[in-house]
Amino acid sequence: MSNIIDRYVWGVLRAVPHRQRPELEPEIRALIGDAVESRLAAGADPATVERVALTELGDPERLAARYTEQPLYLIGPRHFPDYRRLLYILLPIVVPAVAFLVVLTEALRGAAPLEVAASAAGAAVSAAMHVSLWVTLGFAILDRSSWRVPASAWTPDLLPDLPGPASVSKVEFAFTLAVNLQVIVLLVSLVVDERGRALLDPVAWTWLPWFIGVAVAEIAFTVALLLVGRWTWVLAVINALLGAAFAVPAIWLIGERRLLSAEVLAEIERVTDGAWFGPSMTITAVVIGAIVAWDVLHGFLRARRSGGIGSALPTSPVSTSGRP
Amino acid sequence: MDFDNLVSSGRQELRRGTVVLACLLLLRQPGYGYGLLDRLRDLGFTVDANTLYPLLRRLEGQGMLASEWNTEEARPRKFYRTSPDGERLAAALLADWERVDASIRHLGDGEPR
Repeated sequence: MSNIIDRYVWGVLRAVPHRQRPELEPEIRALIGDAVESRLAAGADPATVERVALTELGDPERLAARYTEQPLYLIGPRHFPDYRRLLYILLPIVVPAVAFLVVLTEALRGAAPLEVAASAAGAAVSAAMHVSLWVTLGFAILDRSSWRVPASAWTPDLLPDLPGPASVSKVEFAFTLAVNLQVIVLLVSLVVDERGRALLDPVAWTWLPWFIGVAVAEIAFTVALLLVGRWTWVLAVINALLGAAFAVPAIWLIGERRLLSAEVLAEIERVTDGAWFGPSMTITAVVIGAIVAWDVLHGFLRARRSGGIGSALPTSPVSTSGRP
Repeated sequence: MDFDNLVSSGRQELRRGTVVLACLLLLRQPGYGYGLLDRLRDLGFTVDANTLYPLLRRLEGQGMLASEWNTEEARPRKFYRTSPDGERLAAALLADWERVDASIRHLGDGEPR
């Protein structure tokens, strides 16, 4: 027996359980021998005939898998839909939650903004990898287990909801309108009766017109959104810009301790012993960032939904049900 | 995908399920792996060696084939023969094959040329 045949046989056997090896080895050797012999009888070149015969038999691991009826995939078609569904549910929950918690704890620790962002990004990546790894590992084991776990039964109840034709709700509109009107009234009143000067840091004071402008722009945007009737990519981008126009200066003012005037700060510190004021400001900044980030993301998701499936469906759900 | 590819992949689909039946019928006369592969190929079944050999072993494990090592020739060979259970399986599959054949023919005849 020449070297490459021995190596091939070993390549098959090492991928086969020990108890099957003694039985399988003579069989594989016999069929390689037959293939070589019949090719030689047909006039093949003796120098290359073994290589040709082994090439025809193919990858030994593949042959071994066919013999032992082991799957050549990580997660088979039986469990793949469940696997993908679980990942799609877990990743969008776990990754942002971990990132948020890291931002919060790092910011409370007093880390620099860049450091906070780096830690959050690192934690998000490692959370995504952990979720993917453990879910994949779990399903791979499930797929190979001898108990043959059946895939979750599908029923029509599991069908996804159709995105409505008008995906902008009037409740959302009313809510945004109310919040922004209140903000405008509050800020304008601060400007008008000069109370703001005493309450706010001089820097925050100069930013007041900007925030009033942003709130007015938010209202204009909400009206435009209601008129268009659905989220589009342009509206999502404008929403992101408005979010940044509010969040970036707001977080900067809080972070630089430029929000409240020195007198107010002193008063608060006197009342609270200065124990929790810093942390509460940090938490406020992180929460503002998280809410605006979620709002921006939400806008893009809605734009994708209404631009994707919604417009791809030719007719409304009512009319499709009756006709052929 | 051009037409020839469609034909060859459709043909492969059609024949995939028939290899088991062909093996059970051919092995009424004892045969060994490589010889069976040759005969199947002569008959037009495009079956790979690395598919056929594990298939024979599976059928043996299921009791559809009996095997025995022939050591009389220069090299030992494992000969397979269809078992009585294998005969019954072959008869059932053959009956089904004939039903499918009749149905397909019926459809083909009804079609105007």
